[in-house]
Amino acid sequence: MNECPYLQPYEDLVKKFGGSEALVAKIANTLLASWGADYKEFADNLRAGNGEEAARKLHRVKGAVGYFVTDELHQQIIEVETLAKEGRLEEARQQEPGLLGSLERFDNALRAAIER
Amino acid sequence: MKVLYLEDVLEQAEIVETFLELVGGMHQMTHAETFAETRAKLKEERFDVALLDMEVPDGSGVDLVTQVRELAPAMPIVVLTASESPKLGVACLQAGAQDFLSKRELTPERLKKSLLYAVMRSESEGPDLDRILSRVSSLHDGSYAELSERSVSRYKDILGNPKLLFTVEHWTLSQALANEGATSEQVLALHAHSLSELCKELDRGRMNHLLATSELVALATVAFMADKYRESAVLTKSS
Repeated sequence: MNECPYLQPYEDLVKKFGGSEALVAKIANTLLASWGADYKEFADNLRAGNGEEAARKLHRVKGAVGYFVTDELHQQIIEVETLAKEGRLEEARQQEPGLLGSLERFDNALRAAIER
Repeated sequence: MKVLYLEDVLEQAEIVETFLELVGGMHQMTHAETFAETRAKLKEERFDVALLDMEVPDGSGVDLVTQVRELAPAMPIVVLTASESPKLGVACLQAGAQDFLSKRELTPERLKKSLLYAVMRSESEGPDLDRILSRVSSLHDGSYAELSERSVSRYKDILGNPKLLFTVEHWTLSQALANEGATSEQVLALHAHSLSELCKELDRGRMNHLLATSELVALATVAFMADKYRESAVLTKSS
């Protein structure tokens, strides 16, 4: 059992991937190694005022973590992605720290789940 | 099954490759990071199915489906994206994709089924096409040959070029056919003749596309001519 509201229950994930814990770990390690760099580019572009590019980078993050996140975090990402795409950058900037916090909690919970 | 996967994120491509290895079925994946690379690979090799991400550096959205479809009209396409928008899904299917999958709901089994069904759906379009073509041949009775050579060749040009359909070019030809006194049977024969000629030049995917719109072209031509005949009958009566 994991208690993070942003990570799908580990048992469900294993079931989803054909009962293979090794596959869950492999996919998890792949995305854990990649989402941070895309997120950084998203945040840099958002700060620099490049809404479209920021949205594109966040879309990549969404694709990477999508296998494991709960609906709650998925919606949070979509919301900020939409704001960036629509050029509502100030609103996106306000939400960005909260999103990063959620993603970090998700990241920690996923690491803990696969290390167990 | 040979799968061409367009995806600019290397890690995503690795995940999909892992899925394909897991489900077996002799899948062989070729990865392209850009649309330009996809185009190059399609020139070199034939694939059973394409798997497309919708956000790559040199292309995005439904246009990407249309562009890949133009490069390989007979190849089934499955869209695999981070988006879950039903509207986008419908637009992709309308543009010629066989399926639309969200990365979020992707599992090895779901991927396997989607690829397999896309290929089967695409193959099942074959017999219908043959039946339509044989119906077209039966309509083609040669009476179009009584029309002017210019109209015959122009009709084929217009039918074969989607940009000219239902434009002033199309209506000018319909007017010319009316001026020649063409009958609806002759126009139908002309339509069937042009269609058979065009189908010799096109591959199956483009043929399917042409056949889907062609009935409306014949109908629009005959309807336009009928209006012209009616106008001329009214004028004759009033004079």
